Amino acid sequence: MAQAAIDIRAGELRQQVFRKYRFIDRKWDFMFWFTAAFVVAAAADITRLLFAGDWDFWTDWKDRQWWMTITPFATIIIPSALQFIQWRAWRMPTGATYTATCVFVAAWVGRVVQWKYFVNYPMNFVWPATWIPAGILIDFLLLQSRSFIVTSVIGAAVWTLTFWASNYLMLAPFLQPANFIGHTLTVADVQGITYIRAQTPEYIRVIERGSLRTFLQEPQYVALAFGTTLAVGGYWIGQFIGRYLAVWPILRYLKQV
Amino acid sequence: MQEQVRPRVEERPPARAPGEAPERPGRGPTDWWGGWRWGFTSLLIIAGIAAAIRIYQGIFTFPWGLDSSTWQFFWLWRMLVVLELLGVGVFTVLWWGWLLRSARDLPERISHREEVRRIAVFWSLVGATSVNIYFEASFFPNQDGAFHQTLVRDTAFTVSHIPMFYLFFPLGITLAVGTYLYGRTRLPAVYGPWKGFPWSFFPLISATVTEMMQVAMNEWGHSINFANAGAEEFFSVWFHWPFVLYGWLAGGIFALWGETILRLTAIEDDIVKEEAEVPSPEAAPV
Amino acid sequence: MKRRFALSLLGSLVAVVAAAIGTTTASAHGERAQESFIRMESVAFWDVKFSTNNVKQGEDLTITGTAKLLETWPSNLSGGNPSVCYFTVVEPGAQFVLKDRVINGAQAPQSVFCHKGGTYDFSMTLTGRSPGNWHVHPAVAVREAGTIIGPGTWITVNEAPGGFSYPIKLLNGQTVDLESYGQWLIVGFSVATFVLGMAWMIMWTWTRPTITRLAVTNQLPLNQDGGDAVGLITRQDHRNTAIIAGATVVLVGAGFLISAFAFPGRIPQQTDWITPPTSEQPASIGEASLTGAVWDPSSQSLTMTAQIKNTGKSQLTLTAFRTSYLTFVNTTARSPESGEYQMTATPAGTIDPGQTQTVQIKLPGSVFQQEELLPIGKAQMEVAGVLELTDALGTRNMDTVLTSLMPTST
Repeated sequence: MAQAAIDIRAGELRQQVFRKYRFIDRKWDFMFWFTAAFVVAAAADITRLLFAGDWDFWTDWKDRQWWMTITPFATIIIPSALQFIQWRAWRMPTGATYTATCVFVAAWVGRVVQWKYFVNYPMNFVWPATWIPAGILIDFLLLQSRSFIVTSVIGAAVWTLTFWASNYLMLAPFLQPANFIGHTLTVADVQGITYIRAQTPEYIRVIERGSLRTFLQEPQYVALAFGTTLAVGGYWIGQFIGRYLAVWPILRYLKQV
Repeated sequence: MQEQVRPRVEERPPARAPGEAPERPGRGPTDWWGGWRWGFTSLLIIAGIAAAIRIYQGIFTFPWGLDSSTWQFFWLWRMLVVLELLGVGVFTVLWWGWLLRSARDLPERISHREEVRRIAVFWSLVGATSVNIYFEASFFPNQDGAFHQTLVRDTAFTVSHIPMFYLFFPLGITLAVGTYLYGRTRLPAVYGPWKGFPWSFFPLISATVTEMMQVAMNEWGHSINFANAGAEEFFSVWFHWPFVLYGWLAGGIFALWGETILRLTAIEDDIVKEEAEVPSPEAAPV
Repeated sequence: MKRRFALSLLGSLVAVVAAAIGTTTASAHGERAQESFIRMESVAFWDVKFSTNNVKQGEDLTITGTAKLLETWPSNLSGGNPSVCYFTVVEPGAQFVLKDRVINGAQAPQSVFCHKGGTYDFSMTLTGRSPGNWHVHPAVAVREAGTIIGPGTWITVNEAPGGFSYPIKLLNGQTVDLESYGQWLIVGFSVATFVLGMAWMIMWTWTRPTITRLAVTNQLPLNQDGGDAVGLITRQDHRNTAIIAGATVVLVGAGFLISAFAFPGRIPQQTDWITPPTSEQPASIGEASLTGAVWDPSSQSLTMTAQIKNTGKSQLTLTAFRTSYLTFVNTTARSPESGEYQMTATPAGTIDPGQTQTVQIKLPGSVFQQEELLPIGKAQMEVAGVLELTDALGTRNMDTVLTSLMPTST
């Protein structure tokens, strides 16, 4: 009896899923996805730029200690917000991938138009990190778990590790040692010296200086672990944005201003 | 699932509310050149302005954008600030004024078709706001980092600040408030004044206003060497963070889409109800 | 006919405007906005020379000179105690590449440890990269103080056939072009991830409507999607997403492993800061100090009163006053070179050994005004710099001096 009631209810909902409308056609969907892309890309990009931008701008900042401590936190916030919005509104596990894809386009446009063609830095020095593999995997996790708590805890680890792996593989060539005026430096360091940055002197880099004990070459993994912890916090900041700034205000009004 | 992909239900002959203009072919409420017209024209206008400024920067930055003490800088750059602020100011007054004045002449009763068209226009304005936010929070901030980390700033009115802070930031306020005024005067079912001030617009408009206010804190931070932070160009410096926090308030934009989607489905439900009540198609209002 | 006339008129107008704009040189790079007390009291530059003003892409030019972190270093910069410096070049963007840097005879790839009172003979070799006319200055960036800019000049970089490339040698013997090394891995992998992202988005948005789902999801608990029965998310969706997620894992995993093996011997980014050797200073031949400075707006002149004692064995001459990146030459001692200004010292002439002379130094106020170095009405009304003393044998001393500035009116 209870199962029959559930089946009837499911049937009713299914009818609504496949309902035909007079005025609501696919253009509405297109306009939503297309115009939202701009504000989503902007929100994700500005969060990344002003919380972790320096590490993302330059190869000689993408170090073992600080890059993956700060960047996962900065970059998971808006994908988390969009995960909530798009799951809550459409039951689509697309928030993180959508954000990552939109910000990918915005970042590359920004780097090419501004960093390369305005102030003339080569793209192999100022390339942006990609968040897309990390976004796909945490969206997949949300789809499987249907739980934001699970996605925040396991997802933060997946996000951090995938973010690191997918960008480290592009960074690897630049961590090869090279000889520069009698000193051994990485290719990234040589880029930083060679391509002059008048207001970003070398000492301003917030990178590993060997001041912490390296626990038998483990600073990278310590940074990844701590980056994961911070990313959990970032995830819930994103959830706050999605829940209380994006969804809660729907059809709510202030009676007195 | 496949059914939803087919063309929508055949329309009955439209009935007009008093005062509504007759429909022209291709200018229907959800046609690209009908209700959605402003959806792509506003985007092209805003992107066109940004492209024009970027080209202008490409021509006049080196060397005339590097030394704010020269007369060339005054005429090429400081006057551009004046032009931008005047332009946004004039546009704001004209547009908001038109929205409010023309509202008086709007018919009290509108058809479902007209309301759908207005929601499409509303979405176009939301889209314009979204595109503006992209230029103010991604396109020109990238340039800001590129310019300031590689050159020495000597004024608050740097080449990259000029379009970002003094054109797209104030334009964001104009668009967000203008979108609200459109909703208030054209979509009374969702944003009518008797309902109160929509919470959805509150964070969105706040985002644009507080971003403008944050410019002052930013320049203060860059002009002093408090805690040794103002002298060097660290993009993730602490007095940049409020730009992000205020930017998050723009999340309210999603509530605008949500509210109007719910209104669209309510209109569709009304149509179904009305058609079920009225036996003859000719008399059915849509 | 009319159209041609209009076009040529427009062309002429553009040419006139361009010529008008181009007639005055913009030689500053933001230094004029730095407070005068910072520029005068922090770093003084002298003997700055550019080996050439014209290079082709790939050709070198060398900037040499001396920079001193003055004893008058402001207390509100770097906590009054500068400790890390980066000798660099101010030029608009990356129009040159820096090839070599030598500080006090030692090669300094990155930052150096420095101190108040330190004198640093620098030599920086640049290579022309982008064709154009660029204004170039040597500069010293000091941690927690900012970049202090030295004297600049225009350098023209001409196009070379074949453009610009910058080969560097890796420790494994491989030579790579820094301009494009690793670019195809970055672009290729990034685009591959974009393709995956688009596949995911298209999968979810192409085959089904989006916004109408809100009416249904409003009726479901947050952690439920209703399964196949409701039809919001189907088994097919689960299968397709698993394929894309799997492809993502394979792409990243394989890419990571391949990259790790293809680029072995990786090291972390380096911090290779040196302490430059102490620059050998000439024997002390004199002691100089300022006892006052007066600014007279009516005559547009800045007059400083200096006490100069000859502690050497031969005749001593006040040859120049240097402040920030400016040099004012005593014309009775020598002629100013290109880019230098004139000053008058009264009394003119030399100072005998053991004697102390009070000297009135008159400087052209217009230069200070143009350079925004006159701190009238600012928070710290002081004048500072170095007085250059030269004896008959050619030995030169640079004495740091500082005094309050007294305007006759503000």
